[in-house]
Amino acid sequence: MRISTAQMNFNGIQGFRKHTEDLYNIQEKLSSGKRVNTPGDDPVAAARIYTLDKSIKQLDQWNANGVYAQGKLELEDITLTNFTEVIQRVRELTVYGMNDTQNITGRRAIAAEMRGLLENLKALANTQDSNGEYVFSGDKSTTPAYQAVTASNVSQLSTGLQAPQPTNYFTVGTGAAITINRFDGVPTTVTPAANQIVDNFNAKLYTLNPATQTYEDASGEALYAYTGAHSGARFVQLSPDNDHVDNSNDNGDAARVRVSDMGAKTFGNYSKSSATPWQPSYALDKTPQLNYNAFDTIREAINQLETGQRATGTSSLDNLLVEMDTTLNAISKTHADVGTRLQRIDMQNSMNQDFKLGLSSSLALMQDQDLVSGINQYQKILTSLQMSQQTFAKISELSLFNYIR
Amino acid sequence: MADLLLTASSGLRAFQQALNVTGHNIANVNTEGYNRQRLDIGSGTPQLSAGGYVGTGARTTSINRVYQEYLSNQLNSSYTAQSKYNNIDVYSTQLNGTLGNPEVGISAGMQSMFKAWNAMSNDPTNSTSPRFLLDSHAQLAMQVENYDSLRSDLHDQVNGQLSSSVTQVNRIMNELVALNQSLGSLNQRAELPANDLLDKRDQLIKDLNKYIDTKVFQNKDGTIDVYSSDGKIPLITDNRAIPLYTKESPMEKFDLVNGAPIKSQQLEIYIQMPGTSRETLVSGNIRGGEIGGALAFRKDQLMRAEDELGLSITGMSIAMNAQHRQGYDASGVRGADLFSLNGKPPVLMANASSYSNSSNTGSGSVSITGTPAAEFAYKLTYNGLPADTYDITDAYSNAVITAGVTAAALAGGVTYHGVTIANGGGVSQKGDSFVVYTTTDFHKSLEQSAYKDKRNSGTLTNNDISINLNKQGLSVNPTDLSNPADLAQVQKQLALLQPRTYSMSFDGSFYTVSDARTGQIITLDSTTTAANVTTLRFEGLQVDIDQNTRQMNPGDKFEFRFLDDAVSQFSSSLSNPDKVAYRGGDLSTTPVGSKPLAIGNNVNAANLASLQDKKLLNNGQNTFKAAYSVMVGNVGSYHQTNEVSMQTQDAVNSQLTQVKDSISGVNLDEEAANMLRFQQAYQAAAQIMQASQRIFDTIIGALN
Repeated sequence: MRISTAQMNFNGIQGFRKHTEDLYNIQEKLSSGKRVNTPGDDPVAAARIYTLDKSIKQLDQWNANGVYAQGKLELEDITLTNFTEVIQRVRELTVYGMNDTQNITGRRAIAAEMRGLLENLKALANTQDSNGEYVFSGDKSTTPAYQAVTASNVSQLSTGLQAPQPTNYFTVGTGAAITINRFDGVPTTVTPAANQIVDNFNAKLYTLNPATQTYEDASGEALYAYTGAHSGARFVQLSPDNDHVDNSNDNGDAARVRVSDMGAKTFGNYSKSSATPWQPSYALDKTPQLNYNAFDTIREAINQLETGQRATGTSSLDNLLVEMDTTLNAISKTHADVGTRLQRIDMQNSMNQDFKLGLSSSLALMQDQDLVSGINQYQKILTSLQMSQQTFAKISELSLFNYIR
Repeated sequence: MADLLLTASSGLRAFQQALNVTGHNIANVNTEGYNRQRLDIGSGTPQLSAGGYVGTGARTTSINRVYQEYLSNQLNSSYTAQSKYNNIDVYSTQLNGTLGNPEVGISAGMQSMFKAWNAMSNDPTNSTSPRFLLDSHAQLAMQVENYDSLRSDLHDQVNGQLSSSVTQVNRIMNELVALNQSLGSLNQRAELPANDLLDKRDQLIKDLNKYIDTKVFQNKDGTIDVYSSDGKIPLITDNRAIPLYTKESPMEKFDLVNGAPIKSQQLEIYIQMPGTSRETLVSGNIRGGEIGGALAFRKDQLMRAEDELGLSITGMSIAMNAQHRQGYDASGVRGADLFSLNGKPPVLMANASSYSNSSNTGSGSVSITGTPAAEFAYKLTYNGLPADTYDITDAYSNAVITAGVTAAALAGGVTYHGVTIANGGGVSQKGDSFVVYTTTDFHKSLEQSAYKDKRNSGTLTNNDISINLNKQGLSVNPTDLSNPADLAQVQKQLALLQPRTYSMSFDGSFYTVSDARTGQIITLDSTTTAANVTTLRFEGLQVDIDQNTRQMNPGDKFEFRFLDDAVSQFSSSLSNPDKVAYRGGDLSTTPVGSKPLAIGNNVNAANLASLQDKKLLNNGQNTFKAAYSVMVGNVGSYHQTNEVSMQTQDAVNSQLTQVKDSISGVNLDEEAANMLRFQQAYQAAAQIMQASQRIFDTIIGALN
């Protein structure tokens, strides 16, 4: 074949161009450490990289959610541990006070200690997290879980989230006699004065203290009621959700973990619901007890110990002990539940980590440059470039004109 | 008798000519488009003398270029393809380069937005959560804007190149016409070709092919006709150049309010046949050269990427707006739009909304009538007996609007911003509260107008046509989306959206909608006409054509760039962190969800965060980010395919160049050898002259 001078130059330049371009490409890959630097390097891999990156970020997000949930639940866990310890001490003291060897002074001393513990329990039930949210108020997280019943909030104490309550906890007195259908089915007639409220559940009377504006029992102890939410809870997503919907009920779904609890369920002996009054929303192990919550129960126990008498019937200390056990049961149920949730977060997080490891290694496989083969290739291209430079230099020296003198 | 002197001098002349040609070859060794030339030398006519015919020396017959026409044609067509792919590569590399890293750009923007929604869901009452959230929205809007400016920058680059290339094409055509003229007069004698002029013309055609693909036809008179696009576009006929020119695309859109053009126009290429006033749009036909490359990039990569990105952004905005409207903010007001797709201020609904708080103990309620004149959200609180009054406060600032509105006054109705609030029956208890608020129209933040073809003869303007998400199947129209069933319906329509720019034509009775890029005819779900408004429904969209004041004529064309326009107008429309609707609606109320859940509820924020991995787009196949990665994949594969074509064309071109150079190129060694050969022959011929001289001298001497 005839070769023209232009061809010779063209060939040489073509070689330089190709090798320089290859060198540039491999250098880009080696210096970034990535095989795919732009989608054009490998479009299929690029789309996959985006998807993998999205999945990894998603797992990171779920893990971050898990860490958040853990923080919240651990606070709950510690609070419940403390609460249990305190209430067990209260129970011990009650048993101690029931002892026939105790005289009235001893019982009063015991009652005084129990009063201190009661304040402690109230504080624990109103524990706030670092954001100032009340841990045991459910969705009404900006309202304390338990509050003293006052003249201003007594009318609001039927708050529930589901539907307006047909009956309130309390009836405000007018001086007229009213008949209360007690929880145990015994109709009781009471006559509350205008400054008194009657408990619709057990027909007890509480009087307004003009100084504190709170309703108090005969011993001057304020009445406490649950003011948090009765339904609805916060759920945090930990894993893929099939329907991608968080429903506004207490059920949540398999992908989410509950991070808020309701005091009524945790510390209550009883709770009310929307259906008919005085039915528990959450089934408890025991039959309904006399008092709404642990605070009522302990207050009753303190009252009895202070009077130095042992009442009989439903308000007897024996019955109050049973109620304390009910509370302890309810707490231990929530406590166990919190523990299970914490464990679930742990498990889900380590599962997410494993999954992420898998995804990351496929991402690396997809995206990262194999350094050994890259350097090998780099050497090869460099050698080729040098070779084409040298041959071009040699060939361009050849010319017949050099020999014509 | 043969004259030795003349014979010798004919040789001298021939070899001098040959040396000239060799010198010409050597001088042009590096001339672009030069074909080596050869001198044909023939023997002179013999003369009869005693003993036979005696030659009379050499004669130069012609100087020919060593040239293969078919090679030249092949080279031109590979050159135009190579130049096209090279040009696409220049643009494609820019687009491709911005999409390589999922850690930056729109994808990362979406990621951090959903991260902020997760934080909002985890920590709804924390006052920093909504602020971070709105920051992330602004960030995303900025990322989209960055992309939008890159996109319009690429459009500007294409426009710029089209006009400069067209100038080049016209210049080359004029040179060709001039050359054609001289060749036409010179080339009368085919046996004496004007080699260098022909080379120059070939080179000009090659230059032309750099910008546009051509087909060349030889005329008998030695001139050529040049056509482009397989003969569809005449460039030079009858030795007259038909210049190309660029002008804005016939598709235009003007703002409804101030009549300003909405977006920078794309340039298209036109020709006007001499002697007529009709201009023809030819950019759709040009396939090769830099012009063909720029047009192909614009149509096949840039505009496609715009539509695909548009789908991802539009789908995300619509889904998030719809979901946000399911929830309530901390003040108990229903969520409004998070994003706007047309940059217009929100439009208030004709009716305000109200509810009595879930925590109310009484059965009291409020009723509302009248059309709101301004946006507001008020809370009414009952003070109880014996005062029997209501305090009206702003739901957000708690500022007192009117204190102590008596029950009697409320029974008669109190009016604010055109809305009359009255007692709706029932008995209120002390502390009971009621919320009255206005909402905005969901569809008004999505609505886009059409693009009108300037050449339409009808009077219908672009603003007479509105494009929106298909509203069919929604409970109320227009709607605030307060019904959860409407959310499901919106999501259903989202799944039907396709990454397309549509063009619509009207033949007098029927409307035809097709994909503007591929020309594929789109099947319409329905065409209905009511009160002179024709509604076309297709692929999750609804187009309303209002012909009440202005009309369409048969043959009129419009274009719908719903998704593309949405990206350029995309903005975050929620700026008040107090208005983040993180809590859910109470599903046990009638109508469903008409009251908010408690203040610490996170259901709506959780649902918004969950949209991240909900497969809402492309018939339920893709999440927003997956739709985005489809765009990335397509940009990448277009780039890669183009790169492969470019390499193939490079190889073809270099192969052909090799073959052509092998035949037509100058080889210096060969020329050196020729030079020696002709030099020696010249010297020999001179010797003959000397010999003839000597013979003459001998004879003269003998005579003396």
